[in-house]
Amino acid sequence: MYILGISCHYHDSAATLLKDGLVVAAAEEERFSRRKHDAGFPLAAIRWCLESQGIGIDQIDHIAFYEKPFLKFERILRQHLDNFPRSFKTFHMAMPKWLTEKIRIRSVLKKQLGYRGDVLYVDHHLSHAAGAFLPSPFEEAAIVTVDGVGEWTTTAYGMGRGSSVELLRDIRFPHSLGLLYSAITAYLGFSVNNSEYKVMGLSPYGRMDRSAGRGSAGDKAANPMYSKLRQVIDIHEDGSYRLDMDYFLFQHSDRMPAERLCRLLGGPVRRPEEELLPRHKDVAAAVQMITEDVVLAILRHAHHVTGCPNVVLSGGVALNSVCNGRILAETEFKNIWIQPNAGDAGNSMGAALFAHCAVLGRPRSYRLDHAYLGPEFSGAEIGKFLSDKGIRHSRFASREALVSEAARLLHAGQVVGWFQGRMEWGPRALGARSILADPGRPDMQAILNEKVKHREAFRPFAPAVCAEDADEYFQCDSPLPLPADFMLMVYPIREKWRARLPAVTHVDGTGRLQTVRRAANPLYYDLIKEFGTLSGIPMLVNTSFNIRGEPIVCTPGDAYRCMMGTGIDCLFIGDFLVRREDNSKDIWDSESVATD
Amino acid sequence: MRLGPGFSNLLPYAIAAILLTGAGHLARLWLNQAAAPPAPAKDGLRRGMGRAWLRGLQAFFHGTAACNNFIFLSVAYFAGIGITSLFAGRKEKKFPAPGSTPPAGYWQDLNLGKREADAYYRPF
Repeated sequence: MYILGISCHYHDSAATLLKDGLVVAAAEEERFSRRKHDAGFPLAAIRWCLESQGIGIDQIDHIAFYEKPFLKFERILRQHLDNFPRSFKTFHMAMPKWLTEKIRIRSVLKKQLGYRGDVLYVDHHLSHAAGAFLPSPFEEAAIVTVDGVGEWTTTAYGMGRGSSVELLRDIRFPHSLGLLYSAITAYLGFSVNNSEYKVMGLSPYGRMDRSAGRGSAGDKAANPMYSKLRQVIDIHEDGSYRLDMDYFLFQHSDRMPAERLCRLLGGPVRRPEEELLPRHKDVAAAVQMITEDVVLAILRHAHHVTGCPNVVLSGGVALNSVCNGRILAETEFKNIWIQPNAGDAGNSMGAALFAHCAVLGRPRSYRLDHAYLGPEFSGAEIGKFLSDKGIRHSRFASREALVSEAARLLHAGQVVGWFQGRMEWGPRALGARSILADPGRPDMQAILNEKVKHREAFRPFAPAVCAEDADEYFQCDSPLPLPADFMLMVYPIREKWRARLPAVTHVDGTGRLQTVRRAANPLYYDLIKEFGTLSGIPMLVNTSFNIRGEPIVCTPGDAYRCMMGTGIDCLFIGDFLVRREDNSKDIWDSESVATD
Repeated sequence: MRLGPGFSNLLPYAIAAILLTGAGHLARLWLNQAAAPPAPAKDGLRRGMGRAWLRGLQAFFHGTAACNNFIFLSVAYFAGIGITSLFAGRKEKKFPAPGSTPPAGYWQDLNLGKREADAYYRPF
């Protein structure tokens, strides 16, 4: 039995294909369309899912859609009713798409795919919950979902047992932690639904004295913006909260912060390329601390209600890895699991798994233990691409030779493009479509930021380390939680290593590590170990293989274009090595197209 | 060649088309939906004129669609949303005032996930 899960029409469209309850293919549309956070119908992702299994749309038994479109439309109409006549402009912006596509899912599926079968509609946060619990390793777990907004729900908690998923209580729109974070993201001049992670990366530059202990009272008193921002949110001790809507415009406008919020925070909305002032950094720190306050309080409450030692998280806020790193240390939960694609794209998987287990009553049999669920290219396909394009390359006789040469070049200070196996599921590059470098070089962060990624200097790079070595370098939870494999946990780097790992040590001494297990990605694991043999530290810088403003590369063509447009020195693609200097005819400057 | 009684003078139609295109473009600008100008192409005169003609036609149709949308959606907004909102009772929940008694919490009952299978076949 095949079930196709779809999420689309808001941001991060995606498709997931289940075969007899097992996820066999999953990918975001943006990787194919090359439009970051593509919200359109995920036609290319669906086509790839079907092709990967050699089936047609007529062999799909059910399609599961990730939300209830009529309930969401009701919320949109209610917003316009409540905000008449201020919502005149947003009404004009939203309605054409709603009336022609968003509430006509069946006809869109028929028109785009020729599909005439059943469509199952799973509520947005139920899709989140199912996407977090059903592929997790737990037989029983508390579920917490926090995002911008679904139909009405913005935050919810519940319980998963066996094949069943239940959400018990929620907080509803417009009160939304995700939208508060997005409003501050907009206030700081970054793009909404795209650059929230930049605010997270900026936050340690503000006043948040972590040395006094994470989340301590001294931590918060040091930052004047914290007490100001607390005026806009009332947090109850059970973690539930309410926003003062006088500070926001998102209910009726295409802008998020209101004039009153700007006055409260001491200045107007920052323009995108304006200098970041200490005030902006304090605002980023304040919203990060508030987010952590709320999420930890919700988790403590969810533990109190469910009494379960395991927790799974989902929703865009679950991608806040700084917050995630505090959960096991500061709540009663003993085990945690987070889907690698915890945002809306992951709902395509959640909806499909929910349809399989809860609606159709079939046994739960899938466990997601790695994120390599996307397209892959055979040696023959890559070789043909390189030959057809006249790209000079060499080929390795064995994988040992490939690993050895890659480690040697990394140790020599080269920036390496790493394109191997199936593409990752989720927003993080995890060693299938990655740019790798030596974390021990003091100049590597600047090289990567300026020549390769063309991005803001304040943003940190992630370290990749083999799972069994993590405790040597990081003050991580023990046993090491599985979400660290998906780069979803930030931990302090041990004091003695910080000076020796300048490229991955953030300003507050933390690192957003990715742990690597040999069973999940043997080639990547062996590379890290081999690099460790040469350098003494088995760790690599791992950053996503893309140009700023573009999605992570998907095909060999994307990878080659990205390498030649940036400062990447060489590309390990399948069994092949392509050097930038050997193909100087194709060099171009991606800085001119690098935007957010 | 005669085009018919209404077409003996094409000037008013041309002016109307230009106005419609311009108004539609303004509406699209206001809604942040205006397309970026196309990159200049190195064409010969004939080909360049052909391309410009097609772009003009496209602008006219986009403009007409934007004007139609604007008119119909404005009617729907004021007649539908406006009148309904006048009659709808609005019970806006306010942010708690400083010093007020803390509420019992903001969680609401949801109980989602234990429904009959039929409920998932409906888009509502």
